[in-house]
Amino acid sequence: MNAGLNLILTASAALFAVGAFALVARRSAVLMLIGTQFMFFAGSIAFVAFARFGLGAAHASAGAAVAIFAGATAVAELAVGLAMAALIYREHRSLAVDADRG
Amino acid sequence: MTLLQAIPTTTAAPVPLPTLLLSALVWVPALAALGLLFFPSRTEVQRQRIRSYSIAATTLVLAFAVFMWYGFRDQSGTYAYEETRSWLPAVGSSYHLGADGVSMPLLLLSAFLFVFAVLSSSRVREQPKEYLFLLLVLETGVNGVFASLDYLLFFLFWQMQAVPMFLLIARFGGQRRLHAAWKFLAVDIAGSALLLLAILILYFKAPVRTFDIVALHDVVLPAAMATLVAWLFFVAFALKLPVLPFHTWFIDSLAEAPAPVALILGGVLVKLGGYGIIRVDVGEFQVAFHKFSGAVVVIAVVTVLWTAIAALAQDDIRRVAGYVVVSHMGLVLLAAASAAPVALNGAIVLMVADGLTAALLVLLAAAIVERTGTSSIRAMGGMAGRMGKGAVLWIFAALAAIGFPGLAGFLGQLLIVVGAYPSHRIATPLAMLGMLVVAGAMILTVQRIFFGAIPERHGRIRDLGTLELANTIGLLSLIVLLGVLPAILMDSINFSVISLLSRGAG
Amino acid sequence: MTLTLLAAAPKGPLDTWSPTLLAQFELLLPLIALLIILAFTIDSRRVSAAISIIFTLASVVCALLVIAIEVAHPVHLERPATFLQFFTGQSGGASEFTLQWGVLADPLAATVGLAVIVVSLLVQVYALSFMRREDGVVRFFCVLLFATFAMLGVTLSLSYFEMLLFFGMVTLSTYLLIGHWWQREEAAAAATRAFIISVIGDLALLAAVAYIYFRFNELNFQTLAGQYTGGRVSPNGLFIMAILVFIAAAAKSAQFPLHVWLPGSAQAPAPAAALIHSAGSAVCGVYLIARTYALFHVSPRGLALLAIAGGVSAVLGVLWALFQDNLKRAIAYTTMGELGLMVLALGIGAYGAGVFELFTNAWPKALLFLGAGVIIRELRTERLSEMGGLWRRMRFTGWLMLIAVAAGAGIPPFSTFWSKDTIMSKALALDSPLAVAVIAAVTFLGAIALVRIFALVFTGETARRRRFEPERIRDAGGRIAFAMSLLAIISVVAGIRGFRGRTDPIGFITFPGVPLANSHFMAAAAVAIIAVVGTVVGLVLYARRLPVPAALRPVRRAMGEGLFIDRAYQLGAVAVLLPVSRAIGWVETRIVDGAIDLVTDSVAFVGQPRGWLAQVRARQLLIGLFAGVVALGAVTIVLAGRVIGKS
Repeated sequence: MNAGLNLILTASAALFAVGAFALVARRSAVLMLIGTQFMFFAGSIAFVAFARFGLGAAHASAGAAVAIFAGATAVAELAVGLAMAALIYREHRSLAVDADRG
Repeated sequence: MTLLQAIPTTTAAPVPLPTLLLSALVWVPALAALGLLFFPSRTEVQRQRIRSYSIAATTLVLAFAVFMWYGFRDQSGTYAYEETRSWLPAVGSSYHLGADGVSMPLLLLSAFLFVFAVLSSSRVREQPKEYLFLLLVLETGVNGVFASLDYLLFFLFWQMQAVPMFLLIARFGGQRRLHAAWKFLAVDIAGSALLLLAILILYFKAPVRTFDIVALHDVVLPAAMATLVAWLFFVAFALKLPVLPFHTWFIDSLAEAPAPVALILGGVLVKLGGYGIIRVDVGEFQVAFHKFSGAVVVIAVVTVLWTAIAALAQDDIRRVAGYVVVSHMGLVLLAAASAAPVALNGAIVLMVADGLTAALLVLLAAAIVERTGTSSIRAMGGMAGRMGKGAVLWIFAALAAIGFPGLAGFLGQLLIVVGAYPSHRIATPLAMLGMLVVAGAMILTVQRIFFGAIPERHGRIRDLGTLELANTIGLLSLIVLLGVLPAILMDSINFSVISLLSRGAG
Repeated sequence: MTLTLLAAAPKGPLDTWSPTLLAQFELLLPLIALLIILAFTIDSRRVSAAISIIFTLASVVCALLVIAIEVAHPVHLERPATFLQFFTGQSGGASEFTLQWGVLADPLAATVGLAVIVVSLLVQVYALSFMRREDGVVRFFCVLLFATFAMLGVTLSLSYFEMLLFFGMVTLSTYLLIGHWWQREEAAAAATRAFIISVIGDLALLAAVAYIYFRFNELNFQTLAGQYTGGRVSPNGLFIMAILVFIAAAAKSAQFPLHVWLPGSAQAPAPAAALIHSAGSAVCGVYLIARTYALFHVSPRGLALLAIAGGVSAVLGVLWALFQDNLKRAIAYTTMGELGLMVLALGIGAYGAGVFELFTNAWPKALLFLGAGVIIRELRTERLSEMGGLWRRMRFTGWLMLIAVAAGAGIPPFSTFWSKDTIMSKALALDSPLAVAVIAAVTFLGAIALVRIFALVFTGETARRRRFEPERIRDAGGRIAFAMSLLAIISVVAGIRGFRGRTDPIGFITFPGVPLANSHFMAAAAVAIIAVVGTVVGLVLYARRLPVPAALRPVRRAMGEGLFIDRAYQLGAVAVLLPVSRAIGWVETRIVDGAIDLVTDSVAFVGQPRGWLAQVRARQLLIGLFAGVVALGAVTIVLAGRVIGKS
């Protein structure tokens, strides 16, 4: 198929994996949130790639629209997440989310 | 003339009933859950109010379900209470709900079991608001899966039952709850991934870009593609069923979840797998499914036998119940693989019966565990003296699990055996061996737990309380009712089963 | 005169004299009594027992009416009702799936039903006194009523499906009866064993239902009776059906090799054991064979199977009975012998005689158990070696037991003589020396076994035991004596019809195509002589209480334990199934769970890492895992793109 599309999709998958790794393997709340941002934007890149390379040709702008939507969601999630991280820090004096609690 | 025909129907001529009933059945729990968030839950009185509110919500859903059931026979057309609203026309997905004889009994079962679950949730002391919220959202997901006639909607509702169940097990469960919860989630996600893959392949390969189950039914795929899709659907649903060798998540979850959650898990959630196989694999992809039905039969028979034998040496009373449920679901799978009308009728009846039986077993096991402080059967014995009513109820539950005549499971097992035999002469007798082993395992539990001499440390346990009795006797009455008057269910199931089979084959 | 009156009444399914209507009442009255007791009077012993007995009495009246009608004018009427029916969308015979139930009134059902209900009534009267000091009396009566209902259901069944339904209920009732004293470990274990074996029979019957429906699309007995010979099914197929039905019957009627639950049934209270053995679960199986005789009739191999299995069971049963130390077990093993004889009779074609044997044997068997109950209670022991010398102290019971033993042994003119001689004459007519020899041996040994019981209990000196005062033994009285006397009287007269007719005793229980076996004088004389000789030998042998020679002790022990067959089963189950079960548990925990846990643990970081995983740095594992995921993802995307691109 389209070599360019494949390349961008592979990059997107790699970014997604990095984000997932960060989410799972890190104890710090902030780093986990950064991981989620990676994942969101990796997905957005995939959408835009498909829109650009013609598979969603009938609704070419749909891919970009979804990317914007995903970005907005990411920012919203980041806001809520950072607020919770702040609360956690206030409570426990550290950003570790896996402290021994039940 | 069957008894059912003697009961006058609601209307003389088919009158189109309001088409919001299915939506109500699906969304009322979610709305109730949202409303629940506004309740304060600091004092005991407020918590009691929350519980009453949840009971009211689930009872309302049950009322809807019973009302729908009563008017079900008057509906014309393949799917009753059909609702179609446009939702995502760009991708070809619509909000399409409908119930037929396959899903209606399961919807009714779900409505009943959620009421029982909420009623028996009075023991949950910490954070009842979160608990009931999750339970109600779970009900939406489950009812949605049964009701949806659009693949995308189906998938969304399917996902909606994964996370609440995970949280319920992880937050409110027993000692090894996290282990069980993660296992549940892992298998569930794997199944969901396969489900999504299957749906997407079907979507992209169809000449018409739609997710609608009814519309996609007439689409003919090339044979290899159809087999692939059917196989993917099968694996996804089989993981939920659960079949060997991926059934351990269910046993562990059943043992670790709190009793009402285990009730839903064993009573309703695994029926999603059975429903999926019947609706999609048998209903939509029958020809392709038939190609690998030999493998399916082997899996089914191995499941029935393996879990039955595993139940014999099992020491944990909750796990015994789990193994018995999986054994029954193996029978359901055998029936689905045979695609015979008699067997499929039996499969649906068995699913309903097994749901009620599993609920009863779970509640009784929880009562016993709570009183003795242990779930180990070896530590019990002779408890019939202290728990007379509990003993009688457990014997009934064991008999229902065995498929004793007069109780609900008998007809289901009978129909499956009689229906599956012509096409699977070797598998059916093997499955019957499994039924024998299940009988042996269950009757041994009766002996080990209730007969003989009572050990010292259990000398002071008390019998079942009023609420427990009310719940268990309620379930038992349903089991007996279905056993004695199976025509109540059968008349509505049969027509749909036959049309499903003939649609699938054609 | 009543008979002529009944005979003159118009017959038909809808008029009031109809046997099917009466049969329905007969069937439903015990059930109604049970429901009333459960709903209203479960706390009151007296009222519950009264309700139970009154309704059973009413049912007896119905049964008597039914059999009166049948004797006067044998009819085969059935009143079917549809349990379940639906269309299967297939063509031809399989287009409709119907499950029928209802009542079937014919001579066979009437006769056996009468035995069931009368024994049940007498057992209840006995139990009223016998169990009055126990807890759980109401529970006992409820289970008795349920057992009666289940047995009547079996006798009145009109289709394989209904038979399956009621077979299951008989399984449950036997379980509850044997496990009545559940506080005892042996009783609980015996009940479980009986249940499992019974379920084997039920599943065999389910398999028969599946196979018969598959071949004939029909489950009704009367309809099927005409279809077996149609040639639709090969002889092999018919034989398979016969085997399956036989297994179901063997499980219930304790035929070899499914007999192992029978000695355990001695754990039941005496009235319960009386019901089970004389007119309960034990005769269910024989009844099933009789009811489905049309199937066996067309399958010569099926008949041979019956004859062989029946013969083996009969011989083994009476042999083992000779070596039992437990009184109730000894009687139980003689039941096995009798049941084997019935099955053998059916196998050699003595249809009416076999059924009559069922009828005539019910009375002495029940009487034996009821008497055993009284004896055990008074002597405070169950072991024959500790009994003796009761003739002086319990003369009344002694006479009754003597009648029971004579009736069970086949001494003329008591009940079983009339059936045994017809069986023998059929064997003689068939010119089969093996059959004649087996019947003779069973009669002979059976007589010895029964007399042994009598001799060990009543003759000789009362054994001295600690803390036991023989002076405090009281003879049976009151209701117990009444019930037992009634049984004794019936044991004497039950065969009377045979005497009057000098033909096939139950001439009206016929099977088309099976000629009536007239009892020849030769056969009658043979049976009489054998029975009497056996009795005398038994008295001589056992009244003297000769000690067993040391060399024979192992033999005695082996026979006493039923040749350890029961132990073998248990060992097999424990040695085979349990390790397999544990192995399965191991496989699941280690292998299956281990695989899933590998994934979840590495992803979740919660829960305890297992085994070697703890040594591996989780981060390294994760990196490796995600590298794999990325690679996999890339490959998937490329391939998916190819696939989708080709559409």
